[in-house]
Amino acid sequence: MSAGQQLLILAIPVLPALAFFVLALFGRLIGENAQYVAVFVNATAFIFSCFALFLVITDGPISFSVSWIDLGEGGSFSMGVLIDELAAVMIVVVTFVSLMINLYSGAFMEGDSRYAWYFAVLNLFTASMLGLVIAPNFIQLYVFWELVGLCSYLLIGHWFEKPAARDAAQKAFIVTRIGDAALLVGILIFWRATGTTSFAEISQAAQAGFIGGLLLTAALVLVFIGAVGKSAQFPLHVWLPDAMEGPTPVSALIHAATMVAAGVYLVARTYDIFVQSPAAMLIVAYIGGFTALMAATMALVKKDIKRIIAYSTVSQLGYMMMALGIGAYTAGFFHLYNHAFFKALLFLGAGSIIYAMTSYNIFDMGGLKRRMPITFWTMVIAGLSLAGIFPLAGFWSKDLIVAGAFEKHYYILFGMALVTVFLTAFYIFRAIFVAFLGEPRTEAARAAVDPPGVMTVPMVILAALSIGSGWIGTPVADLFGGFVTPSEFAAGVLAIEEHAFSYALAALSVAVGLAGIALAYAMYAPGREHVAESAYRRFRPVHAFLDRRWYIDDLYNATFVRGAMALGVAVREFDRRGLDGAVTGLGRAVSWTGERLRPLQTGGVQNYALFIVISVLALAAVVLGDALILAAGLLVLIILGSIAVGVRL
Amino acid sequence: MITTVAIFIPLLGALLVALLPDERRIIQPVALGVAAVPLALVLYIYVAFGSNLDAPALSQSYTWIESLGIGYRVGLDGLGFGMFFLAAFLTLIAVIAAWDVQRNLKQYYAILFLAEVGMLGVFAAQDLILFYVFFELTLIPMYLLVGMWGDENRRPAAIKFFIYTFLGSTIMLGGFLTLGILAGTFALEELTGGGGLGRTAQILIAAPIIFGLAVKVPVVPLHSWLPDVYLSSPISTNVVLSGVLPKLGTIGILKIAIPLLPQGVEPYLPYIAAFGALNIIYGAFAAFMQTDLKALVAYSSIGTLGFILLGAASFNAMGLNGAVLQQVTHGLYSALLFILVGIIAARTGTRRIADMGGLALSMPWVGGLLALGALAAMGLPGLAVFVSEVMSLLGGFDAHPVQGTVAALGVILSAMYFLYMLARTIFGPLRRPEWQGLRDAGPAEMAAIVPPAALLLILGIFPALLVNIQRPAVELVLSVIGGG
Repeated sequence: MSAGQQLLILAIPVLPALAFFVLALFGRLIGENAQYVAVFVNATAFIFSCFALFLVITDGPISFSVSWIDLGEGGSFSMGVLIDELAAVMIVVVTFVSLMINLYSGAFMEGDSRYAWYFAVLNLFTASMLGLVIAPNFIQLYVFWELVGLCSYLLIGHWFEKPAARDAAQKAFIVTRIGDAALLVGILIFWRATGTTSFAEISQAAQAGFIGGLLLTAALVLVFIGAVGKSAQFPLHVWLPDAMEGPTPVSALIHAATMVAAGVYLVARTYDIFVQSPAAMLIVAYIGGFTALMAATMALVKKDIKRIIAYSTVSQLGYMMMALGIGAYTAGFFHLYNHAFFKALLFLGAGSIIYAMTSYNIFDMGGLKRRMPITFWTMVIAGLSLAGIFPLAGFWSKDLIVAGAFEKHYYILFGMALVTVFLTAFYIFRAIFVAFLGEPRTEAARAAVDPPGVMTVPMVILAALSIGSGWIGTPVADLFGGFVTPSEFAAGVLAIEEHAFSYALAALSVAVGLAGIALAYAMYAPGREHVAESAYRRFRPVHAFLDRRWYIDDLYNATFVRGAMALGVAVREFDRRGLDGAVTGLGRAVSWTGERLRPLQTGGVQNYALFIVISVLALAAVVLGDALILAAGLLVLIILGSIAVGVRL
Repeated sequence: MITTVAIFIPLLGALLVALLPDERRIIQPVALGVAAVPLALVLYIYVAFGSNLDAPALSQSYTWIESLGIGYRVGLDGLGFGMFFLAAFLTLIAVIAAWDVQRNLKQYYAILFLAEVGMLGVFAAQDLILFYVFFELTLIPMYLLVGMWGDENRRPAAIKFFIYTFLGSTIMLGGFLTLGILAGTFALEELTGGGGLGRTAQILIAAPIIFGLAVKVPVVPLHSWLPDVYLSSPISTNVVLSGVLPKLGTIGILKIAIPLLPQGVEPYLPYIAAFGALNIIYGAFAAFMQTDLKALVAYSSIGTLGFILLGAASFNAMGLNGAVLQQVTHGLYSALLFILVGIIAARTGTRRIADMGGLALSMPWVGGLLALGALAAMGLPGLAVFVSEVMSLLGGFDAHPVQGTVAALGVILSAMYFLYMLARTIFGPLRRPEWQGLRDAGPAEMAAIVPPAALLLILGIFPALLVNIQRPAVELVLSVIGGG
């Protein structure tokens, strides 16, 4: 490819990075204009990404790199661009959603005291996410993996004067950092065994037998733990619901559409390595399936609209992981792609409600349908898409995953996935019915109105995509399935066979979804509050269990957090009292002995100092006779002497 | 010749400053000028000789005692260049950051410049005895800086520091003398590879040398002098004390112990790596619940030094390069953090973490750069410490998987205590209403904190700027130890 094209491709991540530096350093000068800089940069990046996708479609994968650290035979790292079909779709999704969010944020964040900084970090995020997506090796991936984590930290904690936001940011960073440490050790193992960090080379090395068996599984599981942290899978899912303390557009971009999908993307990116360890694949599948179910149950009882959507994200990411684990590669990534649009839209809908009435609690809302029609209808579309109702976007990918589990004979996972479909439809329509139907429950809800156009336009665009994004992957014309495919190698290992579209399974999953919506209506439609109330009374312990997030956070607090703090106090005290005390004691003993030997020495440390200077000087003078050294030494002595006189210790 | 000039210019500077009247507005500009000269020379060397550090213009060799093979031999190499630069750089920063030195400023600067002579000399010395002389030459000035300008605990702290490191260096000198006398020369170049000594002799000689250097680093559990000294020092002294002094120990390991006694060091490698991991974990846990902000930074510094040991113990290109680089990156971040701690303490009147909160609201630059320094320290990519840590880890894990794994877990711990610290100092609601009007960093303070922060960023993005300089020297070491 030509140098011009390379430059254009490079501009995709570099432009937002430059925008970060400009906005971070000159934010005060730029002020309210920050949003225009951000929107312009993101629009450009989106257009260039589309061009990259076009290039990939016409000419195949794009790949080039520059050396970053070069130690010759000792190893070298490069920073590169690898845009294959997978990455091409991903960068288009990332830049597109990012553009929508930058547009929406312009109004949502109006009047914020750190307005330019907000856009600066948002752009750093976009740049880092793109750097991650196009990474051809683990080192580059890790670099940007950590940077998106940093942006997440900064944006969750954007309103850091609020203790809840501050603590949520800290929790998010630390929990994902646990995953990152595992990922790092995984990379270390690959490096040690194969001497490379490139995805392609590691896969080849594994095929050639340089790494295999238990070691390969261990390395892959460690990499997967990194993905578990980032994609908020069990047992590291605890940070994502708290992350909702951040501004809502941030939740839409980072904690729904893009960054949290990075874990899924990592597994997809390294799929050729993963398929070589069936054990690792099984772990991916079951962690994904379990997380999908677990998070969906937690979403059932939440009152905070953002948390409901957050648990839903955890659950949907579980679906994607499960799909990858069972070998349904295309289905998993297809779901990532569809999910990005409808989940971002759900968050933007929640954002408009918060913008209108500054409350997250669905039971403070009610009757918003009449007051906020655009928000209502877009939310319903996104909800139907999430619930997997034909023919909306979510249906096509979710059906592929559920059907995949059945056809590949993972019946337990199939069962879990189907239950999750039901729960998903229930919890999202519970939220929609409670928030939008009936009568307003508060004054704020009575006064709510749809947000200004700059916010509703991205919502309408995303709504259109929530309906139609999946239509490129229908059985009629499966463009997506023909484009993003597992490599020949992976397909061979997994022995992927073509399955005809199963109408029975599709009908089943839609029926289950509709049943979930129906139950939500039966319990939460206007005038049916008593049904929900009696259900709550009957299942109070279950409700508490779900509402306390299965007590997992409490367990972590009681064990890991307390344990680390106790250990910290113990080491601190040991260091000051134990270790230092011993040294001081030793010193006392020595000086006691010194007292007995008093005549031999004069005491003060100054004298030792003088002793060193004089002996060095004497050595120079007597043995060496070098005039220069002698002069220098004398100079030292004079200066020290004058100081000693000038200042008394 | 250029190297010698760079080393001894500060000596003249010390004299010059000592002769001036004791007025801040006269002394400070002069001191800035003096400190700028070695830095300018280093930068000139980088530009003119970057790829060719063994150019004759940079090295000098005079023999003093023919019979013993002792000589004045200085020269720059890739192992020492980064620290040679950093010593000059941080001395300049320390001169700027001397705003909390209230009395006897000219004596302060004079002693600081004496210390600089020693620091620059150590990183350029190509002779064992010369190395020792410069090594000790830093000791007295540092002792005086802490002992005269420190806080109320300065005297016991300074004495502890002095006795500890004096003991360490004396033991080290014993090793040096034995090595030099047995081999018949003290020139590093001739001693490279063992100077003809057998394996057993090398092992026996390596022990005291490593031990002596370990005190200087310090390696846990020989570190108990460090918290006292760091806590008592004035901020400006902290800059060189934490940024440069530990590297006197690590450069000794990298430039002397390993190339001179390759067979002697080799049996100790697993233990050196283990102590590296111990430093990382112990430093992190000790930092975790510190109540004093400065103590937290001090223990974090002990922790990150562990990566140098781990990389050094790897005996491969990746790890050794990481270790050499980590010396510089550690110095940058610790200097930055100590200055910021000083600024915060001066503004708020406290160093207690529990008493702070919300400082970023009134001091966005101070708070922001504190965050940047903390993120650098926890090894965040994009900032230079990440590069050196990850290289040390890759190399260290390659040679010592268990120690490497333990060290890698340190990244969780460092994130924990640094984020915990940030949350309680700069984030959250403003702790006291009167802090609303705290002044953000002024011009002088910005001049002290922005350059290290910028270097962290530049080296984080373009590590090749330094790695390419040190790479040939590391390859030379590798050819001596026969590793790969």
